[in-house]
Amino acid sequence: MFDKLFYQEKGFFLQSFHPAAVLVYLCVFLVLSLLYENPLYLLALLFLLAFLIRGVDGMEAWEGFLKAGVFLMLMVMIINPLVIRSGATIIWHGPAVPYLGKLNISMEAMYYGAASGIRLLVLISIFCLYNQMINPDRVLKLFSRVAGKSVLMIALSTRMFPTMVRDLKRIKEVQQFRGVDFDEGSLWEKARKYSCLYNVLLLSSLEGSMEIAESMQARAFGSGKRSVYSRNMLRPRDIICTGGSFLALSAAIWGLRYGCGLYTFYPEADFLIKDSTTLIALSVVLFYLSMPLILNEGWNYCRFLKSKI
Amino acid sequence: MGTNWGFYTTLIGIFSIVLLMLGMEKKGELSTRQVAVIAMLTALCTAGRAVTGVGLLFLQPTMFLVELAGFVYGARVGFFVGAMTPLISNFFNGQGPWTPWQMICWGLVGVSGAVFGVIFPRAGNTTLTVLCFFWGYLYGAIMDIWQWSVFMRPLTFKTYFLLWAAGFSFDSLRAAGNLLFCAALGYQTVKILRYFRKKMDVQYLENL
Repeated sequence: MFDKLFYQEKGFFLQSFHPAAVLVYLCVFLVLSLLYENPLYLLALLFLLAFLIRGVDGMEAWEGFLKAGVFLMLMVMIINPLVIRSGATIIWHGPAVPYLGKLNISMEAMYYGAASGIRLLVLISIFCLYNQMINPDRVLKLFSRVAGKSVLMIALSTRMFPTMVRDLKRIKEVQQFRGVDFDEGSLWEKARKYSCLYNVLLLSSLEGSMEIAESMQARAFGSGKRSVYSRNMLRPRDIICTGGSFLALSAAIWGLRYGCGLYTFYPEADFLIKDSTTLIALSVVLFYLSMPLILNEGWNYCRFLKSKI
Repeated sequence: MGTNWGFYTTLIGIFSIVLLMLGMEKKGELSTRQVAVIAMLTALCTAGRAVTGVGLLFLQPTMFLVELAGFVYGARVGFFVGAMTPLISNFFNGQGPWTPWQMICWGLVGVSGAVFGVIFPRAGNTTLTVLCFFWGYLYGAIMDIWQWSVFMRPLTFKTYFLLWAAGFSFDSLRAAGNLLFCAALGYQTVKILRYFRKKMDVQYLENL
């Protein structure tokens, strides 16, 4: 069930980038999704993300991620119109409610709720793309130089997690063979049986951790300064991707200084496209952000480009 | 729209958790046994959060374990177990910009357990259960700050209160889950954790 949500090595070009390049690229995406307020800009980011996710064959996982975000999105969309009084176009005069006052639902407040919903989808999609595009182990290795022990602990517990679930099943089976029926009895009795299960799991896993510690010590862990070895290559594709990310960020900041990407919702919603600069600024940012997609197409269809990147 | 608080709160979350984790790691050496125990407890908490998170909604046998880990093993272990639990379990439940804030909150749960352990070393299970119960609500209130700053406008106390009220039932479920699990399993857990703390402490007899 969870397999689809995780990174799988599928041999796509988009999965072959240096982890640092992908991290920079996705960070720029994250910053832009938080800085932009114009719904058009947010939608454009969402579309670009959809193309990228399709490029790594992650549409199925994306669906799962989006489903998870719908509840939060609905909550934001309902609360916003209820509390915001700044909107000018009232579409429903509601009754007076204690503490909140008169419930007047305005068009602008609903609009803002919808725009926030799009932002949430963009944020979720960024992390979905992260899960599909980059091997978590390679990211961890990137940080092992600065925070070796934290990285080791994260890697260890990620590995331990499936073992834990397997252990739980094993202990349950052993108990069942000894005659414990987990489905029988009142709620209180069931709870007591499960609490025994938990105690055994805690004891056996902590015992296991002591063995791990001893085997780590036997392999000279913590005996001196640790050495770091990295096999990640920085190729032209990574430089182009990182360069594109920085150019996109600078273009976006430059645009934001002149109001491209900003938006006023209250008292009356602004025009979605104020003038041609709005579109030009958006296309420049999108062009720089599409670098990995362009390279992906080049890799698939242009032999010359393939030989160079 | 003025200052983009959503952006700033997310950045503050990311930087704080990175600095906290680096600081906690660099300040004094973590022993091999501590590393292994932290990893194992985190895996246990992750399993609790990810597996029951889907099946039992917010009734998770996790937060009390973080709290007790802090209470028995001290602030550093409590913090690491707490901070890494959402990081890893969110690979199953959905990673997002909320992760750093969740990490801070869970880390604080562990640290609060440790602080409690220093002030009241003889605290019984009832006291710890009450603390766990309060954390159920406090966690929701802190996480609402992030959500409020990113998705709500205008940023007034009223909008925050409404957001908090919308999540109140979930917070109550979490608090009730903490209360039940800590009341039922807390005593045994502390006993087991204390037993392993004795095993972890290595004392060298230098002048033998």
